[in-house]
Amino acid sequence: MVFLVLADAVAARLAIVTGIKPDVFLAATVFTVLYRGHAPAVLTGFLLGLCADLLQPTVFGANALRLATVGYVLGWLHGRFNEDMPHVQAGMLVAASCLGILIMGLEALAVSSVSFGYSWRVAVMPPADALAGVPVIVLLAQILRRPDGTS
Amino acid sequence: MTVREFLRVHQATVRYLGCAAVSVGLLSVSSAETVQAFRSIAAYFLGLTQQPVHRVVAYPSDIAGRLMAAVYATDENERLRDLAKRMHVYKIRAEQLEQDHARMRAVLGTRPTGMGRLLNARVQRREPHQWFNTLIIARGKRDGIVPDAPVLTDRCMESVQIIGRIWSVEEETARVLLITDPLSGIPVGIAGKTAQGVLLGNGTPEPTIEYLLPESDVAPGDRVVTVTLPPGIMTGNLDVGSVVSVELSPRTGFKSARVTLAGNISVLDHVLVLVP
Repeated sequence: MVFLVLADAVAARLAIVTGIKPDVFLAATVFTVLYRGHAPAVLTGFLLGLCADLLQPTVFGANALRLATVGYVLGWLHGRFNEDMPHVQAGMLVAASCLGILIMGLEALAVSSVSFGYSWRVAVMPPADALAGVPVIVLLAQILRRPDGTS
Repeated sequence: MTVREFLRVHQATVRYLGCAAVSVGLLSVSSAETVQAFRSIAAYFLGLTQQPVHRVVAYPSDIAGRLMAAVYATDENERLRDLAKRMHVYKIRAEQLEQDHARMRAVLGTRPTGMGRLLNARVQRREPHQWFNTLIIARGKRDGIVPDAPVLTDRCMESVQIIGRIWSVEEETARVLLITDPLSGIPVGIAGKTAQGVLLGNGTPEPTIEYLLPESDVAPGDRVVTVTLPPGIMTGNLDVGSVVSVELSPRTGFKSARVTLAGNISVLDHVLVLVP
């Protein structure tokens, strides 16, 4: 969790320099989907979403619901692909991004909050930002590598 | 299938439903003050760790920024050099304008009350063998020049000095008779004194004042000015020069004084004509 917070700080700095801000929390959720399984992905997404809600100026609970949903929906795909393949990771990230956009749109419709317009813009991740999360997944896979060589 | 088995099989769905319920609950009940309080606490603790990270990440980006700035520095340097050159030219022009402005202010400031209009005239022609006699200016009747109008110079910045008067006028030109010409004779007096005489040219840069009464108190260094004549032939109080020497002529019985001119009559590129 501390690593993700620090990585989010780095991503925020990179966003200033490059204009692309990888969604670290979404990438971590996708990593959990790929390497840990369905049920852990839901819980991890929910906790990371709460953390993102604390750090970002979104309506509290919006990111939690978004990432938990991403973990649940994409969790059905766990074990169906070779998770070490970069294009699989990139595809999952783009799919997660699109799903996140859908969820945030539904949240915006359901909760007619003024600040939701802002959170909508903040939370929606364009494809470039989504693809920028691939290094995060690779890094997490390296850090959380198990003794038997699997992540 | 027991409840325990159902929960184990559908563990992900159950977890998701629970998480979604909590999220929707947070979305429904969370007030801005509470959320802001949680965020402040989180920002307080996270700020301690994020600051060094920001600093470390910013360092290479700053270096990259400086390198990019160095790349553009050459072009910027060229632009600034050109700008500096242009500014230097503007500065020189401004200084010239300031000098012209100061000179014209001095001319206007020293113009006596009741004097006519000062007309600037370019010296069009000056014959070498008549250097101290006459010259031709590029102003004439069309510009309002009239015969006997005083001709002045402002080479000395403090005041204007008389150097001659209009002799003849054409439509676009006029001939000036310099006060150093032997034919020239203008009434002059000593500033601050009652002595008066006639300034006669002698073909040299130092004309003489003739017909000074023997008892007149004239001494070297006295300032010589023009004297007003009733028909308006000559305007008074125009600076002529200063007395160099005084001597008594035994033949005529009058004193004569040699005068050094205030205006530089040798170098004349333009003059001022006092027109009514």
